[in-house]
Amino acid sequence: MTFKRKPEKHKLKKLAQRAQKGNAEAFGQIYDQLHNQVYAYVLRQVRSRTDAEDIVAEIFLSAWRNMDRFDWKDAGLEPWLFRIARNSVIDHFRRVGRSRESGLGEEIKERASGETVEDAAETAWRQRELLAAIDRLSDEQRQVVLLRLVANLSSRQIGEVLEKSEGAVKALQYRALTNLRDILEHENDEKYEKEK
Amino acid sequence: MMRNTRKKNRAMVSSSEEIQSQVLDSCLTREILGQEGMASRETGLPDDPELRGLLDLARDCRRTLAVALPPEAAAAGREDILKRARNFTGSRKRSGGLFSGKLLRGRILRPLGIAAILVVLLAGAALASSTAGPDSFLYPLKQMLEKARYFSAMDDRSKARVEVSHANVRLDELLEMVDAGKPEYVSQLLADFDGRIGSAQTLAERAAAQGSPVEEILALIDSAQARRLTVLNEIIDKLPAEIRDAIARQEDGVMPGPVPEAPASQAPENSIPAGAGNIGAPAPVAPPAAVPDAPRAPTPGASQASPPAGQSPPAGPPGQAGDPGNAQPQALPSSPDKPRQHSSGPAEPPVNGVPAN
Repeated sequence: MTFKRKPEKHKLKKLAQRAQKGNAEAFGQIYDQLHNQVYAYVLRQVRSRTDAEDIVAEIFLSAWRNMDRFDWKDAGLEPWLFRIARNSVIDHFRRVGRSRESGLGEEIKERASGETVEDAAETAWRQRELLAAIDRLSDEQRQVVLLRLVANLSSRQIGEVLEKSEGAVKALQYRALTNLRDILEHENDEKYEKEK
Repeated sequence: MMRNTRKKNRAMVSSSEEIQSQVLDSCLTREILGQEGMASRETGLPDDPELRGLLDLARDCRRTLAVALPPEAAAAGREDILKRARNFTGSRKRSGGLFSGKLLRGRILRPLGIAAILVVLLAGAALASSTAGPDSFLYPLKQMLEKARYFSAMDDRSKARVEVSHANVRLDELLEMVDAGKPEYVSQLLADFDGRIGSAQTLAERAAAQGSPVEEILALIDSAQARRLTVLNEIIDKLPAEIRDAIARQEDGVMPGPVPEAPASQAPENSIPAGAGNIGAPAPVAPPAAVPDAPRAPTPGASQASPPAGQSPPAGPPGQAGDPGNAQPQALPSSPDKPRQHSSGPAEPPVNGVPAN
């Protein structure tokens, strides 16, 4: 499953301007364009669909309430929205604790229609494996991986979210992927050893 | 040598990592934007198994971790958010009215702050202008405030009182100007005084015509005129010759002659030097009881401003009455032999309370 192409910047800018003037319909269009990215970013952290849906609603409502504070910059609306998202996830973990385990069944349910149960199960296992590996990354590296590969933000936009330079984000991304690869390889080696 | 080599190697590794992170980011950007698949991009890359492995891993992550809200959940979520957003807008408009942060700052506090600053500035300027003399840049403001006070007075008696009060202020200013060594303002201030007293007399006549008691006002006018003479006597020696002569000429033209009680020629102790006319004669002040509820006979100057009985006389606003260019000492009779009528009671009996002339 892949996302649609990123929403055009100027269109988002116009929508944001209209939403700032109190146009709820324009805000609805912003929701249409960005809710999947936000949902994926939240779900991959909280691991519960219902929690993720609630948090996404919270995020967009908070964005609506604070639209008058939003100041359009070159990086666009996404960094601002994902900063809200990041804070909402942190608040969620503060409330419920940092348990990130989810049932395999729920992960299988997420799969696209047309996929066989076996394929879905295999993907779900891979997903768990990847998420477990991502969990072992440092917080900054984990955020870069999620924002880049799940929410599809650019390095510059991630820099705005994490308050880092674009170059620093690129370096973090490289190290995050290298570490992720090492973690996965190490786990595979361990599994192989166990199987032997 | 070894250290240099290590440094060099570290720099090369760091530089290589930087290049790889740039290339990796570029490939990911292309993939995310959907401009070019990783595969085609990879063909242009140097044969770097590490980079290739990282790109594969990134692609795997994207594919495996991508997830979207089911359409029905997305639609329901949208509806819910928009509903709550609209409610929030409504409540923000209702409850926020006065106290929401931006509104409070932008539409209420800022204008209030500006208004408060203006009020403070104006009050400060008004306060400062109350003691300003004609040589001060605040003097026009003082005159404006006097006009405002005049126009805010409710009836003719109040207006007359205001005029007398302002005439007395002119005398205070006159003394200040002489003390400050600025005698050039004296003629102007005297003319202003006379204009205001003339206006006060006109107003008093009109009030009397309407049946209002004016004894108190007449007493105030007489007191002001007596003070005028006292002030003139006090300052006349301090004035330069040309100003003194000008005042004397002015006074000759307007001052009454020797009053029966204290003619100027018979009062050497009060008289002013030669050439200053008879301004040294103290003005006889009629006691209020001398004018029993009848309007005083207007002075010639004042009577010029008075319309015939039954018509409303133009009670000149302070700006006109006080205008030095226009203000003539109307309040005083021009004949030096004729005693001041107002100070010795009405010259002719009023008809139905209206002055005969």
